[in-house]
Amino acid sequence: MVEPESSPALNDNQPLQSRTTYLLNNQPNATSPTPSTQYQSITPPSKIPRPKQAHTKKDSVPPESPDSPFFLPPSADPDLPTTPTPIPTPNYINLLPTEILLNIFSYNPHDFYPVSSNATNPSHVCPHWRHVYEPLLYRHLKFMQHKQTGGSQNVRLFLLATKLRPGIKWYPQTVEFYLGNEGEIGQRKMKPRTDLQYLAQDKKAIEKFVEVLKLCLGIQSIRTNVCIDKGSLYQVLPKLLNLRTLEARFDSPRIPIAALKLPYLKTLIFHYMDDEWTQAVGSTHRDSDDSPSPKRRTETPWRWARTGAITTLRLYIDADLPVLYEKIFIWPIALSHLSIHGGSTPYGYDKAALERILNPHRDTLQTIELPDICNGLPDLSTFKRLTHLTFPAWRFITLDDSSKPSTRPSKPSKEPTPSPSTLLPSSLKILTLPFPSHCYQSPPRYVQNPPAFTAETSDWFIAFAETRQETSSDARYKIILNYDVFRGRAYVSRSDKRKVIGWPWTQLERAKEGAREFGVELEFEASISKAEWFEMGMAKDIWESNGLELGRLFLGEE
Amino acid sequence: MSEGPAQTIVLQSNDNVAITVERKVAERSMLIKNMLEDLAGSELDSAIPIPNVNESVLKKVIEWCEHHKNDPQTAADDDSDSRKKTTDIEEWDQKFMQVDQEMLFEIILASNYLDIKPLLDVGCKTVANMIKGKSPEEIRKTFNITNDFTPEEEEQIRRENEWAEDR
Repeated sequence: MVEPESSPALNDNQPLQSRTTYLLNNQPNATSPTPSTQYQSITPPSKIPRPKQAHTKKDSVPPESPDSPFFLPPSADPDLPTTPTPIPTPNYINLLPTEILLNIFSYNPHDFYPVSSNATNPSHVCPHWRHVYEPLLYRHLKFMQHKQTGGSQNVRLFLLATKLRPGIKWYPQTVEFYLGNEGEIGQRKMKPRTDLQYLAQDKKAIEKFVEVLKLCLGIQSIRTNVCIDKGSLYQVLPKLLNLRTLEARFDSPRIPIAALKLPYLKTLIFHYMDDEWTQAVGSTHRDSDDSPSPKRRTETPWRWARTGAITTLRLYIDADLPVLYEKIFIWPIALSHLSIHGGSTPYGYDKAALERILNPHRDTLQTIELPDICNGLPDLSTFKRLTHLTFPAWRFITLDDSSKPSTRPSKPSKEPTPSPSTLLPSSLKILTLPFPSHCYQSPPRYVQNPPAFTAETSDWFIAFAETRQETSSDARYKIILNYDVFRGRAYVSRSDKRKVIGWPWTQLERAKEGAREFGVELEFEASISKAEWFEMGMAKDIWESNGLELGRLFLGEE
Repeated sequence: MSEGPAQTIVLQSNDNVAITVERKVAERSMLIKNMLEDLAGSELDSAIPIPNVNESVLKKVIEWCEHHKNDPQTAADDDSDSRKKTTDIEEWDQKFMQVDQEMLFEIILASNYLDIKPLLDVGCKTVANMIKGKSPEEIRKTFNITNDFTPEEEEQIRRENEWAEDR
C-alpha cells in the first residue's frame, strides 16, 4: 500500500505549477477546449496541510516515491500561505483551472458580442475573468444597424477596443452584419431597407464593417445582408484566408470570383436580390417581368476559377434567368451539398437547366435540396453518392401522371415521363417532399391549391414504396413529408374564407402502413397537428385576417 | 478484458480512508476505468489511491456515481460546440449540488480529475446558474472575488457598458 499523500503521481511532461502562476500565465486560447486534465486541489488556507499536486488522468502508473525527481514536498509550494489570509471565505471559483472556468462561462445565455445590457457579462467581474472570458466574448460578432439608432456605435467601439488591446482582433471567428429593420433581421429573406435617407448612413456603416474585416483577418464565417459584389467589401474578401462560410447578397456575378479563390471556403450562401433597394441605389435597372433585362441576358466573360474547395452551396435566388447563375455551379470540383431556394418563378429552372447544373457534380453530390423548383425532376439515377433529395411533393408525385391536366404544363411533353423511382439512385436514403401551396409551372402558369392527399396519392406512395424496395438495397429508406402551416392556407377555400377543408391527411395513415410493408418509412412533419387544424376551423372570426397572423395565433407565438 | 475478477474495488482517499465501491459505479470515472483496463491482467489486490480527493468529497462523488451508474455512457467526442448548452439540471442532481461552495468546487475539481464528464457538467451548470442574471458586483459578492481592476480597465468597462446600452 502506498501513501498517497507522500507520493504524488506526476505527469512527466507537465511541470508542476503553482496555483498563482497557473492562473496568471495560462493563456486561455493556448489550451485545449476540453476540460482540464490538470487537477489542483483547492485547499482553504485554514485547512493545512495538504500538498499541492498536479495530475493527469491518464497517469495510472504507481505513484512516485519521495525520492522521485518529480516529488515536490508540500513546503515547496509558494502559493500555499503559511498564515491565514485576511479573506474570511476563500475565493474558490478562481482556483479552478482556466478550462473549467471557460466551461462555466460557455453556459452563459448570450452567445454573441456585443453583450446586451441585461445579460451577465463575466468580463466585468475581475481581471482574471476578463482574461479568461474575452476569447469567448469576441468569438461571435453581431452588428446590426437599426433604423432607430442608425449609428454604427457598436462597430466603432469594437474598433476602439482593438486599438487599446490589439490582441482582441484574433478572437472573432464569426461576424454577422445586418442593415435594416429589426423585424426583418433573422428572416431568410434579408431585405435591406429601402429608404434613400438611410443610404448615406448605411454606406458609413459598411465602411466600418469593412474595417472590422480588415482587422480581424482570421475570421472564419461572414453572414450579412449587404451586397458584397462591389466596393471595399469586395476588395477585402481575398484577404480573409481563413474564411470557411460566406453568406451574402449579391447583385452581379462578380462576387463569386473573389470568394471562390479562398482556400478554405467550404460553404457559400447567396441571396440574390433584385428588388426595389437595388433600384433605389441605381446600381441595376429592372425591366418588366415579360422582357427580362437585356443586361442580365448578356454573358459576362467568365473566368474559370480554380477553387474546388467548396463542398456546400446554398442559394436563395429570385432570379429571372438561371443561365447566368448556372455558371457558379460549374466551379466547385467536390460539391457535395447543393440547395437552391427560389427559382420557381416563371423563368426559373426548367428540367434541362437543372440537368446542366447537376450533371457536372454527379460523382460528388450527396444532398440536393430543391424545395420549390417545380419544373421537373432530372434523371438522378447515376448520382452514385446521393443520399438525400428534397423536391416538391406534388411535382414529384404527378411526374408520371398526365391525367391531371390542371397541374401539368400546357406544353406537351414529347415522350412519356418515366416513373420517379427510375430517376433516383439506389444510394438514396432520405427523400423529403415538401408540400408547397402553390408553384409555378413552365411555361409561366401559377398553380394555386395543389391536389389534396387523396386515396390515389396514398396508392401512389404504396406503389412507389414497392418499386423502391426493388431498386434500393437499403431497407431503411425514408420519405419525409414536409408540411408547413403557413401553406395550409392552400386548403382553405379562397372564395369562401370561412369554409375550411377537412384535415387533408386522413389518407396518410394508410399510405404509411402500406409503405411500411415494403420497408419504406413514411414520416410526416408538420408545424400543425390535427387537433390544431380543426381548432383553426373554429376560430371563424379571425378568418378575415391574413394567413400569417393566423399562423402566429395558432403557433402560440404571440 | 473488462470482466475482471473483482466486482468491487477499494478506493483510497487522500486522507487514507478506504471506501469499497461496486466496480460498475467506480467505472463512471474514466480515469479509474482506464486504469482498471490497463491493469486487467494483473491481480488487483490493493486499494486504488485517489490522491487530491478527500474522504468527504470522494464519498459525495461516489454517491453521484451510484445514482447514475446505469446512465448511458456519453460519447467521448461530443465536445463543447456540438453539445447543447442548456443550464437545465435534473432534479436529483440539483438537490445533490445543494452544498456549500467549498464542497461544490471540490466536486468539480474531483470530477475533472477523475474524468467524470457528466458530473463535471452538472457542476459547471450549477456554477453557471449562480452567475446567470447577476450583475458583476453581485457575482463578486457571491464568490468572494475582489475587484482589482486598474482605473484604465474600469474606464474601458464603463465604455463597454455604454455600447451594450446602444444596441
